[in-house]
Amino acid sequence: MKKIALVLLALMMLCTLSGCGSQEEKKAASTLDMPLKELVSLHVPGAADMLEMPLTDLEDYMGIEPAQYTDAVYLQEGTLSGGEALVLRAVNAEEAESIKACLEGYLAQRCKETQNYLPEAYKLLKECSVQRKNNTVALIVTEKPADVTALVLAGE
Amino acid sequence: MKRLLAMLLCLLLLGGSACAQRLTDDELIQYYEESVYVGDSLGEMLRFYVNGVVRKAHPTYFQSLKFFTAHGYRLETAAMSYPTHDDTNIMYKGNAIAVGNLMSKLTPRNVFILAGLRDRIGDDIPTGMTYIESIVKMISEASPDTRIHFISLTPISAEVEKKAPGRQGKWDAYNAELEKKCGELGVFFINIAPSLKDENGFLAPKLATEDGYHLNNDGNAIWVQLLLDFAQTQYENGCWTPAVQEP
Repeated sequence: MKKIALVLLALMMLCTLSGCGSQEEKKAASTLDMPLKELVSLHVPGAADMLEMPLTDLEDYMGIEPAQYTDAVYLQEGTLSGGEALVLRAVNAEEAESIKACLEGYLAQRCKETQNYLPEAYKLLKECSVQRKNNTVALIVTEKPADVTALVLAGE
Repeated sequence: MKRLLAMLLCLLLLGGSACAQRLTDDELIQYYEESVYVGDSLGEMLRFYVNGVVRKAHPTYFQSLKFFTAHGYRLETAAMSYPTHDDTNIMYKGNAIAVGNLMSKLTPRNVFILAGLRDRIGDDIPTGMTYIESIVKMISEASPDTRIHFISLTPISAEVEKKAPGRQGKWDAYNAELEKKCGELGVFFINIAPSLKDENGFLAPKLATEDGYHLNNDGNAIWVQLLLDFAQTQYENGCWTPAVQEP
């Protein structure tokens, strides 16, 4: 009797755990289908009030070409010390690495510009880093950037 | 020499065009197509305004005006024929670039340049003028058909003047010399400073950000209007005609 109860308990636990796993997989799928603009607006504080910058700027400033990504969003706060959000879904892993390098170069440039000139902006920027999950790359300049970036990339 | 003759021709035609009617904004904005803006954080704020406000109302306006700006970009750096290692450069496709190289890559119809704030160029106007000469020479060689425009330094607020007495006077003197130099070199000067000043001769508080140097949306709105007015002047001078004119 005891053995039967133990087996039943184990089976119940197994069913519960596999149920949780499939829910997580559904969450991941849903953000991959979501436009990045919508994804960013969900998780980045103040995104709704940010200015949408032309995607041609990604190529002109950062060297990221349209053929490298399937979706992109580039938002800036519109003040000199303001935040920004650059998130791109690359066409493949190789382009994701290339985009990551371009955004890292851009972040380094922004730090250089602001270090002696706009100390508040520099303080914000030096806490930020470019993160990548699978083919999605993100640079989010905001308070607690690691937490916000993790939320944006969670389902990617 | 070629530019001086072109300028003189434009002025001669002024007499005949004095009765030209005011073009519409849709026509005037065409002056800024296929153009490049180079400068510092003043230009960055203009970029925000153009993308955040102007293009929301008019999606095609300034669509092909590319901004190459960097916080703290110096006039001295703009005059260099190679990117500086010691200071901020403008970037093109992820790489630091000199203005001349940028012009040869893009060959824009127009280039608009505003820098000098970080140089405190009013403290050394003669050096500023040598920078202007270098920039004109460099651009003329790199992209001979590009029309070159320098924009005046914008005024500072009364609060900034209190911390640095005499600065506004120096900037006014710099702008006056810049206008003269542009005339000598046969390039264009767009003076936006007077329209941004209050009755005391400083940046009007309602047009400024908190730091007293940069323009807020109201200030940038005036700047954009002045750009349209300049395009009208160019039309009246016979220097330019919109490709698409409304009946």
